[in-house]
Amino acid sequence: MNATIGTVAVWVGLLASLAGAGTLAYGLLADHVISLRAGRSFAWPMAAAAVFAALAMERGLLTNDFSLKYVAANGGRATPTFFKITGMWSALEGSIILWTLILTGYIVVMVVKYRDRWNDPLVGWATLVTFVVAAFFFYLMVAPANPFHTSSGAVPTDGPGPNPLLQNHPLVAFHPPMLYLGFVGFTIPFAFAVASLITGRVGEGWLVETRRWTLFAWGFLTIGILLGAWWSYQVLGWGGYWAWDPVENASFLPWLTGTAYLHSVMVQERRGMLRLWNLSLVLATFSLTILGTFLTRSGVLESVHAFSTSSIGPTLLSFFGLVVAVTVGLIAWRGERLRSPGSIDSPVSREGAFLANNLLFAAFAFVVLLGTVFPLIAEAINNDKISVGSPYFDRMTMPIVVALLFLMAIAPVLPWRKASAELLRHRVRWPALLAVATIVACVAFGVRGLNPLLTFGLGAFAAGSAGRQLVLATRRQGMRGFVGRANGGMIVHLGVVVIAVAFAATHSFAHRTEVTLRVGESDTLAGHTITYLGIDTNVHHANRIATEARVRIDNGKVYRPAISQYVGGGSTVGTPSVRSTLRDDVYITLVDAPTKPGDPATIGMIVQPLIIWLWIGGGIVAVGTALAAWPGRRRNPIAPVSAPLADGSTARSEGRAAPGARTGAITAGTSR
Amino acid sequence: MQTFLRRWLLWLVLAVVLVGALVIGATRTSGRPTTQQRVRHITSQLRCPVCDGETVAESNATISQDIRTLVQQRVEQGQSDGQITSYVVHQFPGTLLTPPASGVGIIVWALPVVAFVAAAAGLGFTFVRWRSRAGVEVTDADRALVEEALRR
Amino acid sequence: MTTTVPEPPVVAGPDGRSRPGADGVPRRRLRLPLIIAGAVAVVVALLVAVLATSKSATQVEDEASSVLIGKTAPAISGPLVSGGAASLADDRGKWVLVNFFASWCVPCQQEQGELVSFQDRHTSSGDAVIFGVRFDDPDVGPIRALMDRSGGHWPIVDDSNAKFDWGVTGPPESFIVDPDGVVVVHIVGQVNANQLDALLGRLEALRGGASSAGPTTAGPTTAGPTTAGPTTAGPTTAGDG
Repeated sequence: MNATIGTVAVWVGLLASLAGAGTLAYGLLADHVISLRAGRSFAWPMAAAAVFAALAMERGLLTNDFSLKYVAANGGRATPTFFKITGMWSALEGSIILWTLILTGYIVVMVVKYRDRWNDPLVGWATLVTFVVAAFFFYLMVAPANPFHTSSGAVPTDGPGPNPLLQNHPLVAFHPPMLYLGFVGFTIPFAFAVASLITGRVGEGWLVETRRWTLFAWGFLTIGILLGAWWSYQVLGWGGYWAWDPVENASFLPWLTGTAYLHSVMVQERRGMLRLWNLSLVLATFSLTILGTFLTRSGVLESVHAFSTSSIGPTLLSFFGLVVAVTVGLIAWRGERLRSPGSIDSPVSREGAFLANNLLFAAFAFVVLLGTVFPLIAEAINNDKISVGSPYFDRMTMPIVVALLFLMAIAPVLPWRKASAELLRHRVRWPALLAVATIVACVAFGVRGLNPLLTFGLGAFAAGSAGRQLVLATRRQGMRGFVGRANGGMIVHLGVVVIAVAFAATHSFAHRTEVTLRVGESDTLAGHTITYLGIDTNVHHANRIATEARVRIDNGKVYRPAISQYVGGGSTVGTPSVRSTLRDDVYITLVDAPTKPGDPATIGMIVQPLIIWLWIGGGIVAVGTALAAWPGRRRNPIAPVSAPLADGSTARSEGRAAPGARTGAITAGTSR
Repeated sequence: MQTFLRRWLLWLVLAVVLVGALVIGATRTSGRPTTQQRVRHITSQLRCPVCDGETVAESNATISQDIRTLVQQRVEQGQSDGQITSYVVHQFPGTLLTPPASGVGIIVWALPVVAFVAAAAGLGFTFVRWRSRAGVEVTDADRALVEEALRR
Repeated sequence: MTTTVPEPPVVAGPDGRSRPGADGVPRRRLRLPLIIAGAVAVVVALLVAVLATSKSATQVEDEASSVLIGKTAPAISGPLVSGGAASLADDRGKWVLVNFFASWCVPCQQEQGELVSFQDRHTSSGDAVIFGVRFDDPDVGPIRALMDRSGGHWPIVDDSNAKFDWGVTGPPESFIVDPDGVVVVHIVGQVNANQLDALLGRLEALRGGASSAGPTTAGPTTAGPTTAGPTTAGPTTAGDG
C-alpha cells in the first residue's frame, strides 16, 4: 500500500514536472501565452506528489511496514518514534525524498511569488529550469535510487533501525533538513541566472530578484553546516567538529562560492560590473551542490559521513556534467552581452575590497576542491595512494582565513569608489586600537602561537569595524540601524568573528588525556577534575543496550559516557558525554569498559576552550541573516533598482521602498 | 616631516607594539611536549587504514589502537617524529594525511599557489587596463541619449 | 519590453561579426569569456573523467597490493601456542602460507576449514606449509579451542611486531612466501584451498620456468577471497571504528 502510493506519487511528480517543463518551453519558444500561463500550475501536482511520497515513506516507517525494502533496511520495531520519523532521511534513497520535497516546496513559493509576472520570459524560463531540476530528482526516485522497492520473497518481521550514529541524538532531525534547505535554495537563483542568459537580459534585474532567495539559502546552509559540526562533535567521540572530511568539504564548497556571490553582487548592483563573474558564481554554487551530492553518495571518497554506496553515482555525475556543459555553453553564447560597462576607479575602495574578497574565496574553494579530489587524481595519474587530510587543509587555508579576517575589518569602513588615507586612518582608529589591545592582553595572559594571536587580533579588528558600523547606524536611525542588508551584514560578520575566534581557540588550546581509573579515583586536566564513580552494565534503552560509566565532573553533576550495542546489530558505538560552559567544554568518553563492575575503567577526557561559542556564533549569524533580509529603508532613491514606472511616477515610498521599488521597475516591462 | 609624524605617530606606535607582542607570543615556547602530546601529534597525521576517513588518533579500530601503542613505544625509545611517521607510512602506504611534496603530490601544494598568483596578477592587469581606459569623452550625443532614457 | 540599461549601439564589422561601436574596445576582448568558458569546460571535463573512472573507496581498500611483494619476508618469531618457539626462517626451502588471524575474528574462524584442507593436501609432498601469526590475540585458550575444533596443527606464534612489519591492517590476511624467503602473494580476506592450490601451481610453474629466482610478479591477488571483500572492513570485530 505504502509502496504503491509512493511509487505512484513519484511517477506523478516526474510526469508533472516533465509536462510542466514541456508546456512552458512551448509557451516560451512559440510565444504561446496560454501555455506559458498554464505551465506554472504544474508546480502544484509536483509538490503534492512529493508530499505524498514523503507521507507514504513516513507511514511505512511509523507502521513498521517491512514490505518496503527501505523500511526493512532502515526501520525497526525497537526504534523510538522520533528516530523512525528521521529515518526517512537517514539513508540514501530516503534523503532524495526529502530533497525533492524541499525543492518542490521552493518551486511552489516561487510560482506564487511571481504569479503577477507569469508572462515575463525571465520568470518563465526560470520556472522551466526549476521544473527540469525537479524532474531529475523525481527520476532519481523512479529508477536509480527508488525508495519504494518492495522486498522480494518473504517480508521480514523486523528491521535493524537506522545507522546507530543516526539514532542517538536529536540533531538528526535538524541538520539534514537545514542543510537541504540551503542546498536546494540555491536552485532558484541558479534558475534565474540561466533564464537571464537565455533571454539575454543579463543586466541587474535578475540579481535583484534573487537577492533575498540567495540570502535565505546561504543562511540555511550556514546553519546546516554548523549543526552538522555540532552533531558530529556530540556523537562521534573524538572531540572534534571539523575534520576536512570529503562530505564536510562537499557542503562547504557551495557555501564558499555563495558567500563570494553575496558580496560581489553588491558591486554589480552599484557599478554594473562583474556580470560574468557573478553569473559564474551562482552557476558554480548550484553545480557544486550537485557535485557535493555526488561525492557524498557515490563512495569514491571514504568518509564517516558518507551514505552507503549505490548505483546513483553515475547518474548524479552525468547530471553534474550536463549542468556545467549547459551553463558554459550559455555563457559562451551570450559572451558579448556580458561585457560590463563599468570599471573600478581605485583598488583601495569598497569595490576593491569585494574583489579581493572574491579572489580569496575563490582560492579557498579551489584549495578545498583540489584537496578533496586529489586522492582520485593521484590514483588516476600513476596509481599513487595519496591521502589528503587536516594537515594539508589547515596549512593551506590558514593564510586565506587571516586575509579574510583582515578584509572583514577594513571593507566596512572603505567608501565606494575611492578612499583616502586620511579617511581610512580616521575610521579605522578605534578598531585598530581594539585589535592591538586584544593582542597585548592575550600575550599578557599567556597565549602563545602566531595563528591564535593573529586570529584573535584580526577578529577584534573585524569586530571593532562591524561594531563601529552598527553604532553609527543606530545613532542615525535608532532601532532601524540593526536592520537591512548592510547592518544585518555587520551582525553576520560579528557572528563569523566569534566562530573564527572559537575555532582558533579550540584548535590551539585543547588538552587531552586518557586515564585508567579505579572506582572512586580522580584525575585532573586543565583545571577540571573527573571522578570515576562506577559502571552500569546492561542498561536497557528502547533501541540499545548500553554500558554506562558514571563520572562526576568538577564535584558537580554526574555524566554518563557509554558504549552502546544497538538492537539492530552491527558494531558497538561509543557515546561521549559533554559538559559545556561558556568558558570551555569537558568532553568525556568511555574508552575501555571494565569487564567486571569493580574493575578500573579507561576514561578519555578532552578539555577545549570556547567550544560553545561556535554554536553561539552560528546563532548570531542566523540572526544577522534574518535582519539582513528585512527590508531596510533605501538611502539612495536613484539606485538602478528604483527606475521610474511607465506612467512616469517614481516607485519610491518610505518604509516599503525596497520591494515596491523593485517590482515597480520590472512591472514596467510587462506592458508589451 | 612634523605633520607626517603627527599624523602617523599613533600608527607607528601601534605597529611597534603589535609586532613586539606578536613576536613575544609567537616565539614563546610551551616547554617540551609530553609523550602523550607527541603520540597525539604523530597519530593525527595518519589515516586509519581500515576506517572511513578517521585519523589513527581518533579511531577505535584494532589496528589504530595497535599503531598508537607502537608509536608510543617508539616515542619512549627516543625516535623522532619523522622516523616514526616514515616507518608507519612505509608499512601502510597511503596513510599519511599530508601529501608528499614530491612526485604527484607537488600538484596539490603548488597548483593553488600558482592559481592564486595568476588570478591576482590578472586582477592587477585588469586594474591597469581600467585605469588607462578611464579617458572617455562625454559628447553631446551621449548626453542626449541619457536624457532620452531618463524621460522614458 | 524595456530593460533598465539601454544596449550600446551595435555596429556590424566587415566580416559581419557584430561588435560594440563607440568606445573602440578591440574585438579580441569579446573572446575572453569564450576562452575562459572553454578552459572551465576542459577542467570540469577532466574532473568528471577522473570521478567517473574512480573505484569506490572500499574497493581500493580490498584490492591487495603490498609493498612487500618481491622483497624478502620480514622475520617473524615468537612463542608457540603449543609451547616452545618457532620462526619463519625455520621453513626456508618450502612454500609458506603466512596466515595472520585471531580467534575473535569471524572470517578467520570460517577459513579454518579451508586452511586444514590446504595443509592436508600438502602434508605428503611437504612442499608447502602454513605458518600462523596471532593478531592481537592475547589468550591462548580460545586459539587452542579453535584449532582443536578445526583439526589444524601448524605452528602459531605470537609476534606483536609482525603486523607492522608486514603491513597487516586486520585479520585475516595471508601471504605466500617462496622457498627463497621472498614474499610473492598478498591476500586480503578469507582464503580457500582451491584458490591457494591454483596459485601455488602457477607459482611453482613460473619458478621452474625461470632460471634464476627472480620473484615472479604474481603481484597483488584480487582473486577469490576479496570478493568476500567486505570481510576485512566489515566485521566484525568489536571496536572497529
